[in-house]
Amino acid sequence: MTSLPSRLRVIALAALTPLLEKNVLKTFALDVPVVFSMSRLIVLAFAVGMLRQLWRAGIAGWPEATLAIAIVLALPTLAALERARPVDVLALARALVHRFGTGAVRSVGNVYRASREPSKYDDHRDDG
Amino acid sequence: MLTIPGLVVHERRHSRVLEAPLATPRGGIMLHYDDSSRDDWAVAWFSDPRCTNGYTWLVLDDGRVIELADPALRTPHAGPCRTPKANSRFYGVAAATNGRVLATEEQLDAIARICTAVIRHHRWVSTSVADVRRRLLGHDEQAIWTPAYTSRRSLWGKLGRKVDPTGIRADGRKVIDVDEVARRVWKT
Repeated sequence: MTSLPSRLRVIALAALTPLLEKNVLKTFALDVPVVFSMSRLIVLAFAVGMLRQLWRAGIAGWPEATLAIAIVLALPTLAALERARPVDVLALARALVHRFGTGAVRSVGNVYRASREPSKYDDHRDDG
Repeated sequence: MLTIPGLVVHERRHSRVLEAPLATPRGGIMLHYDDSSRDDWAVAWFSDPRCTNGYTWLVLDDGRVIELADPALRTPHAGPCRTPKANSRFYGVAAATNGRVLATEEQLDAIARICTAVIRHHRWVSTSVADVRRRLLGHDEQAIWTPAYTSRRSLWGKLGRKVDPTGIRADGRKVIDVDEVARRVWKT
């Protein structure tokens, strides 16, 4: 039977492993077996933010849906980009940037309950 | 159906916003903006089954007035306010604009005409601009926080739940200046 510290170690490793990488340059320079992957941390931060948006406001249009899809595909895409030629990476970046600002958007500040701005989703039926 | 004498309405679209009998007599007019960016979208929203807010009159950019509800009935425009039963107590008048775009001159004139007609209809005594101003209120002067809107107990019962019709422009200009509307009403 495994001890509690051992179990906690397994859980911590399982939780952290997706965020770690074995970058040869970094591990060699720092003399550690693994390092945190900045790109994976950034993807995680975006995922947390997107989950919060989904939970509280849902998805209203393609810009938000595209971002959600991009986050899901971020890690495999990053892995593929590491093996791609610079010109291909630039082409992908150009295609992404070109799409910015396209499609219907909503005023993000208005979808949350505590917004002080009027919203078409306001429900003022209860007037005390 | 109540028709306010002297009030020119471009279109009546009653029964598409939530209406209910008044819970208390009318005592004033509350000004809003509806947070819209296009007139046609603004009007269309009030026919959408998901819509749970509504005004008696919506004033479009060019000054056209859309009557969304029978003026004899209350609409869900105010929510919890300093004045109880504010949906009934106040007529709801909204300009079709948002917190950053100033109401047009045509909108301000049309809102003033609506207010003038309503004040005359009810024979509310107005011997000065101050009298008129007492009958005209911005949503931000009345809307208070309640537990339904924030979990911050310190805000409950306090103003600040809404910013319309003043708006949130960086230059500080008011989207609708209620004092200015009162002056226009007084002039007419």
